[in-house]
Amino acid sequence: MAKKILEVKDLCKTYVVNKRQNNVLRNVSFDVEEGEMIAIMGPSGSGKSTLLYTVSGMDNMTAGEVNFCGKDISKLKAKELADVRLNEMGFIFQQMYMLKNLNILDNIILPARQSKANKLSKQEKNEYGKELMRKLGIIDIAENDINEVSGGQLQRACICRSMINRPKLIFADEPTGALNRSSSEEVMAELGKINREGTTIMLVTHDAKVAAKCSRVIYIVDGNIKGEYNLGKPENNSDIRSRERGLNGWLIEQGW
Amino acid sequence: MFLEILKRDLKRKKTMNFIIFIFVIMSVTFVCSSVTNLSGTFNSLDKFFNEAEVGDFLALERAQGAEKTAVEIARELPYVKDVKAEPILYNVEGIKVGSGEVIKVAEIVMISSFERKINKYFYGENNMNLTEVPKGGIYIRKSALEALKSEIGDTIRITIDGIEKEFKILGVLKDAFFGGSLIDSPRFLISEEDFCEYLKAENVDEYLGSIDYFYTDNTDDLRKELADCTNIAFMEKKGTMKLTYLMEMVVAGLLMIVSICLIIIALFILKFTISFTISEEFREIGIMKAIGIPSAGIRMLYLVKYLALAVLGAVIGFICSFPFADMLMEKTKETIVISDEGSLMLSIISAIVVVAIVMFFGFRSTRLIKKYTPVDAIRNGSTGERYKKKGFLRLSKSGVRPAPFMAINDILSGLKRFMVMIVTFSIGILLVMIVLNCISTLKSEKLVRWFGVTEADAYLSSTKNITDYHNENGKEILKKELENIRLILEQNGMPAKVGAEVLFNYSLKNGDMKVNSMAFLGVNTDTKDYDNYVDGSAPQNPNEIAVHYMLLDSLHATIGDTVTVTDPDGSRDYIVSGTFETMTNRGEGVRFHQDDDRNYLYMNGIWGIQIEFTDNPSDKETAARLEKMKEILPDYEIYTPGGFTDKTIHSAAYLDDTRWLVLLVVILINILVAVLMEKSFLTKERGEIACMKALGFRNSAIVFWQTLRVFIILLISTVIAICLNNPVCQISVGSIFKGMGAKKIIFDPNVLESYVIYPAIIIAATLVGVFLTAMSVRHISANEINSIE
Repeated sequence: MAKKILEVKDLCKTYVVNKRQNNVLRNVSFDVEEGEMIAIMGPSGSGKSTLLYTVSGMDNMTAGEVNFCGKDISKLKAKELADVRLNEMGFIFQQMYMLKNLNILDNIILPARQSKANKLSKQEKNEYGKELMRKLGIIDIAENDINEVSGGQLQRACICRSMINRPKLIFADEPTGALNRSSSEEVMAELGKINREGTTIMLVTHDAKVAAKCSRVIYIVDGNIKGEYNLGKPENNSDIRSRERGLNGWLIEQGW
Repeated sequence: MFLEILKRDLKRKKTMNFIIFIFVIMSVTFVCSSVTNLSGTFNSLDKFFNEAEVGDFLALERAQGAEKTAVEIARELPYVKDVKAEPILYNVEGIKVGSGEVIKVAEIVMISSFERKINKYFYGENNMNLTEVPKGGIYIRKSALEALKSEIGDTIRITIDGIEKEFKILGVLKDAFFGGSLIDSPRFLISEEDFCEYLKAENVDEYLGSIDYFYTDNTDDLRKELADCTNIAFMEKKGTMKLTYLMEMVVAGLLMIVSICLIIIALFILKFTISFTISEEFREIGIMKAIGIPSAGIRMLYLVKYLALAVLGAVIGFICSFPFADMLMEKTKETIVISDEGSLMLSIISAIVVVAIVMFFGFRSTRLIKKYTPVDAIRNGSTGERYKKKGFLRLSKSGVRPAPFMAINDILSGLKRFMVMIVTFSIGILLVMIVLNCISTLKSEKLVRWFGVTEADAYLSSTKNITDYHNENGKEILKKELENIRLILEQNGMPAKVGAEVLFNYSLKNGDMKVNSMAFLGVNTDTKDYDNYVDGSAPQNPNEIAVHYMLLDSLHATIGDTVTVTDPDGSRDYIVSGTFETMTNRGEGVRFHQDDDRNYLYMNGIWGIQIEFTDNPSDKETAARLEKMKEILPDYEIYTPGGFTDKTIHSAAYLDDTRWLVLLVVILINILVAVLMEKSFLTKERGEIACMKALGFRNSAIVFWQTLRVFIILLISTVIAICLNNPVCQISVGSIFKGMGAKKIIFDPNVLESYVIYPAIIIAATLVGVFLTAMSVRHISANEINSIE
């Protein structure tokens, strides 16, 4: 049995807006195993992104427990949490946010240069950044400014950045949300490749095609897990189409 | 609907709107206070002299000596409308303060009776016209109060020809004629009863004199007529008397420079802030265009917002400008009556002008709205950022950590956005450097050559009465005294050359041109020893004379001409051998050859006894000798060369207060500008900060990045200020020294203080403000990354 990389128990998240309590997550519990590629789905406002940010330590939880690689992240200090995010987690956002004064390669190697845990030399970090870019087919834009490349290229650069410190788990919040269909497929193909190489991925998506490429789907409604659908690892392209059909059927059952 | 959008805009963009609002307040405060101060100081001396009803021409006269007094001569002149004389008594014996110590405030202190006064005196913060002096009371000027180490309410005892009387200090006097810090002799004001008691002294005639006020439009001819009156110790026209306030004017001038800088800073900040904030709005402008709001309507929306912020800010800034202006002018107001007349109206106009400037900048910045289509506008603001240039440096090629790399790269990639800080910090640091340069130069040993003495190791000031030398054997008495000093020094292992300057006042004539001037005669010195000749050479023979270059112009003479010097014994001709520069008596003076035989009966004083050790002691040894001299020469005050110049012009202490004021103002402005700019950066970079946090950057690394960026800007500003320091000093302070009689002053900055310590204080204080502001990154959450526009 695979090792659990993330254990979430009775996770609650409550926002107070205009003196009104809004329970975004209610006693959410689930586990993520090493090497898994898990998708969080659900209607808008169901708490998908909040779940992602809370379990990754980017947002505080109201109650519950989140164990990442054996560490209870609710008990970590801000500094320790920052170190965990820097060295053991990777992030991909819908907005493809990068620092404007750095070129693509510099943006990618930035977390590596900041990390003290990453023991590679400066030169090795640069080379690894380029290697990732080569793998994802964007080595040509290494010296480009961030406004000189397409959305798909930028999102692949964000994937490279998320991997630069060889994280144990990559969190992706709607990684294809701002991309067209072909860019979206390219990005998901890259994420699938990374996952097959051993990196665990947890992503939030609205897109059943994207979710079908994952091994498991958690469906969340009003802050509760309504159901889980185990797809298993995808084998080939024809397999994907049958997975999509299966997943769509299950989603309709869930009220999608 | 516009009002609704405006209300929401004010609420939603609190930080940026708040920054504009604060900058408008700052601008109005600076501009109003500066304009008030500029108008106040610009004509302040004219108004002060007019309100004090000082005559057009003034003279200080002894009661005996000449056949005709100056008053008698002037009364016979048709162009002199009126002549008034105010009798005065001279105190030459020092003043006993409460502790029993006798302090010599000046060689001569003039005592006037309130009942016999001619001009008006003022006192207190509100410049009250002094209406009475009760018996036993005395009013003295501020510098004398400080010299006497006394306070208002303390008692002092004044002796004239054996009559000692006790007085209670009732207040500080603003005396137009004798109030300037370059006037060594102060005037004290007592009651008529007390004055009459002094008049009963046996030899009162020796201590009696008068201050003469001449009312005429023809001061040049009057000066020529009075030039032969040997009773006159000093005479000058009203306009020139204003030069005695040079130090006060230096301070006022420095504050003027501060004020002009503040106005520049204020306008620069406003322009930047408005264009900066409008560039943030392109996305919204695009959306408004897309939903059909016309360009003029959108523009109006922003202009209404700026108008609301500008008007409210102007009202608050206007109110704040009054205490700020007072704070800047506090020191100058101690001695000069600064008129507030018309300042309120000027302040109101200034505030309105600032509002108009805000609207003008707003109008110009929003003109792009018209040109943009909805798509352009939305695209330009698509990520909240308008890309123009890529980063200047490459992290992959750099060896530094990300935070310092980003700090340097940000500055090199977008210097324009840091321009407000660079300009503000550079001007601020430069201002402090100018003041420090001025103070260190005024305290410098090197300045001594501009005071009519030779460069020596020590200078002595005698506490003896000038009357001791006032006879035909004065030269022998002085020579004996100098020899006595030399012997005492030699007996104590300090072989030295001892010399002194004797001061006279003579009438000089070249053809029709006549002037009355101070004259130097060196005793035990050689005219070649003086290092202040500008052209020609030192007098080589007793029939040669060196003349101050400004005085030579007044005489319409040149080197080689013959000028006539007149004293009560008669006239003698001298050949002008050269010109020299000196700041003694504001550039007035001639130097005789040391062998010239002048009658000491007409001397005005002994100037700086000069001690030059002949065995070349080390600096440490010289300092030790100066300490020892205090014990072995108790009748003299001992000065280092720097101390001697400081004593002569009393300026460094005066400027010291200004140093702290300018430093405080600069630090406050720097902190304010840095904090507000940092706040605007944090608002603009919120997305990047959230991204960095999400990537695992600690708060400390982000705070370091933000603070380091400002630190680098401060260093750049310091370098700019250092580069500009000397040229700006020469233009501003150099011209002040020129007015004092020094053709070209060589500044002697204290490098450690001017270029290291004070900039470091400013940098440290500014960085504390930036650091504390940057700490607010703790409140930016990593999960904000997707909600940032």
